[in-house]
Amino acid sequence: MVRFGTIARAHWGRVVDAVASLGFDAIDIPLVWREHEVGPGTFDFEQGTRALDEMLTLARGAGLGTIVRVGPVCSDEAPAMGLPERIVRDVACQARTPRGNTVWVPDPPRIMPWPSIASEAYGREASAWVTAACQAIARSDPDGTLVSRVIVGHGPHPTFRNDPEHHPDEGPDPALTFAMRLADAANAAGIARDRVTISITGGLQIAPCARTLATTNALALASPHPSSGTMAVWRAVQHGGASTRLHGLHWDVWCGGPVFHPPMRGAHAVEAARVAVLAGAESVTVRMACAGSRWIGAILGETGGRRAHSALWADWNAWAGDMAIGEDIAADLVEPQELVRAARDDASIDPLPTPFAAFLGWTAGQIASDDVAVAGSKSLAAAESSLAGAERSLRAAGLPVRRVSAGAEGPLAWRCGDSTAGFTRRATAALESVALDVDPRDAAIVRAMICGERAELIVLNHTASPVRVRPHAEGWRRGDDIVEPGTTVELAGGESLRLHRPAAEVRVPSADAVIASRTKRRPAVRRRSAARPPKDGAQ
Amino acid sequence: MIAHDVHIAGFAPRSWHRLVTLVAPGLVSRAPHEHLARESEPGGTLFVLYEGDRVQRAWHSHRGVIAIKGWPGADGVESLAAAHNARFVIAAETTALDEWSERVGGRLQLDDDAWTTTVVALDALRELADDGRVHVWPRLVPARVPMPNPAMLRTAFDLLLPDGKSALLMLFDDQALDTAVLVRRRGAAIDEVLGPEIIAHMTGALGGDHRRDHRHVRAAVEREHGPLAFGMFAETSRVHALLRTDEPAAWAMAMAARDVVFDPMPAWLTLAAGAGVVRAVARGSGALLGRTRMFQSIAPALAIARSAIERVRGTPVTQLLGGLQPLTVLAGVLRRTTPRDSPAHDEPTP
Repeated sequence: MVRFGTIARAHWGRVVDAVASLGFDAIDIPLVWREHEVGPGTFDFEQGTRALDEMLTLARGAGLGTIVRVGPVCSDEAPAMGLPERIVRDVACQARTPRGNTVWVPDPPRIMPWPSIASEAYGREASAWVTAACQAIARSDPDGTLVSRVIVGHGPHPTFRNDPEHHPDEGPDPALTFAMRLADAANAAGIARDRVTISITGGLQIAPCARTLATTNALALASPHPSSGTMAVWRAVQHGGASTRLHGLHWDVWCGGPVFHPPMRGAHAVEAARVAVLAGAESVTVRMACAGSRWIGAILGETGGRRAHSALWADWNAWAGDMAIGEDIAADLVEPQELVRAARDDASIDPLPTPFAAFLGWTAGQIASDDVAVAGSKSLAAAESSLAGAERSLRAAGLPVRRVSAGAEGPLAWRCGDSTAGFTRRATAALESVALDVDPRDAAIVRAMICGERAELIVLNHTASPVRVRPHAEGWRRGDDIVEPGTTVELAGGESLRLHRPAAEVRVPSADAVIASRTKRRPAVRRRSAARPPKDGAQ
Repeated sequence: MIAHDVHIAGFAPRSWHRLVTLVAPGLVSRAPHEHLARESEPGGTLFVLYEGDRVQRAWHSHRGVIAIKGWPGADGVESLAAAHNARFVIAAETTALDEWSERVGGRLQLDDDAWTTTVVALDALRELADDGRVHVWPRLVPARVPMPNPAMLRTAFDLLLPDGKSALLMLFDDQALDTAVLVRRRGAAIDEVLGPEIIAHMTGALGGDHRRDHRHVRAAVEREHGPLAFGMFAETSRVHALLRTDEPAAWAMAMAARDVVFDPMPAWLTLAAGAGVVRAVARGSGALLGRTRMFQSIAPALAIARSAIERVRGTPVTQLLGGLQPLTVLAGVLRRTTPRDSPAHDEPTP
């Protein structure tokens, strides 16, 4: 991402060339509402640092594609979240507390009233801005060859709120209504629907409207902050990938941040981006390649000069370009939709914005009070605990596992209330050909996928200590070398391993296969049942 | 205090990291795969939301979401910290955050300046603490210290950083610039915050010894950027130690030994250093000071400070110094933490 609006035009060419020289293949350009509004409802996309044509031309000249974001909130560091002051000050646009007071959100170094996504006035103004910006994009790129993706919607600003609130205009699911209204505005302004991507605040685990929006459009999400750990980044990316197969998904990974983000070393940002790619992020924006102000630790300095960690990003680009893309084979843990809704409706961190929890890598079950009722479980805490327990159990068995939203699961799926032990046995049988021995158990994450004629196995040590792994099945290759039977591979802290073999040699679980494995295993379970009935009564 | 459209530039990830962790070591950056290792480290902050005698959610800055069976009440917060190996605890009733949001929402206006916003937000928090709905352990600010009003804060700000002037901090490590920040006030607020990349561009190559470099740096910055209200030059490790000390005269002694160089050195800083010496004498540390030759060199400052404090007694600044003492509060927090080092060369040279 390059924040052209904050960079002196004299440096634009140098910035674009530097981005290209680092191996990136596109530039992500956020258009910030307050910077383009020259009068109430009047916009400029031609003068000075607002010249969209010039940005697109420079990118094309350097052989780069472009993605354009129009928000209304699309850049974390812009004052007032990028909104014009007249919008911030308009009482009709402002979100309300239960007692009718203004909802204030941090806009470091100040706090500002948060415009309500339920407000008709705000929805109208935001749509007018999106329309104007998309018309400008359509004028600059009439045949749609320069801009591959136009991203609308709020995000990923972590202090943004899209929680239930109390605006008098509020109807059912205002977040969904608001996002669809913006997508329709972009479409009506000349951007084909398949090029319109909707940005979601918070992860898929946090935003209930995301599943619905994924049925009509590609989504854009932000990865959790690198300090939230390997597992949080991995889990979010896998969850998103599983739930957006129809239209795809675009990820933001972090390189620095605004001053209110925790500080981040360059090497740590690159490692988090590597985790995201290993977990399946295919279309990725590095936020930020260059910004003229208010962004700490971008890849390039404010005038386009390379910073020390830029070499790490060049290496990352070369490495990521070699990553295979395919269909995941995994045991799916189904998060009930009501868990997300119940968690948000009763978020114990209220009045803090729930996307902030996603930024920290929290799951839906971790943001709400423990005693919230959830269908299929005694409580939200019980549901979260059983999900986490099942995840640990499957990972300890060296199996690929991912959390998914209800409705996005594959044939091998666990639901709240199912027996964890029984499911782990079934999954072990169904996924035997991609399973690993991991020592210590649970210290590595496994991902398996079919990429055309080839099967890939990705193993990532998510701890700081060495981990030893050994595939169950013979015939896996590491590069050109066959991994000999019984060979153990040691991975240093954070290190990953990629193995491959012909796809035909890997058994992919289908609904039939899962049922067959269940039938095959049933006697064993019964024998155990005879000795000690399972506490949860399953099987 | 800071303009909402403040210009911030010139920080690479490492220099910003070094600057922030100077006063907030808990925010040290970690590689994603090191996340789990942190769980076993002692310290951290425990956040608790409770309702009645039930804990609704507890989050430990090292261990994430944790389970706590029951809320022990305000008297049990210290034992809660000990049980979970936390150095700080912040606890609140579940409705307290909503209440805080309502109170702040009802009292703030969009045009309120940063001082008013800060005071309104802290006032609302203080009310909830007084009502026993918010708890902070350990108590770092004495209970009876009055909340400064916005006018007092503005006056203090005027004294510390007058309009049109800048403040500079330059820290060195291993004969090289470690981190730096240059902030400029324009009008009522700070409008520019610049980092080492831009400062280094103004100064050119440096020797790496703050005792010698400060004159050259001051001249270069004033030539390129404008007048300085004050500049502080030191070794990072020395500042880490000074920020954690409970010895009132420590800063004055460091200045006398030129471990910390202020250039220019404003009058308020002389007063503050002198006041530290006064406090050291008052609480009996004079014996310690008297045993060192250092005391001889700061004795004149002590005399100046005594007379100056007499002259300015009753002004907002001395009210601030006599009541809420930010450095003392910060030292109280930092003494419970360990300085975090950042490896200097974990990122390649371009």
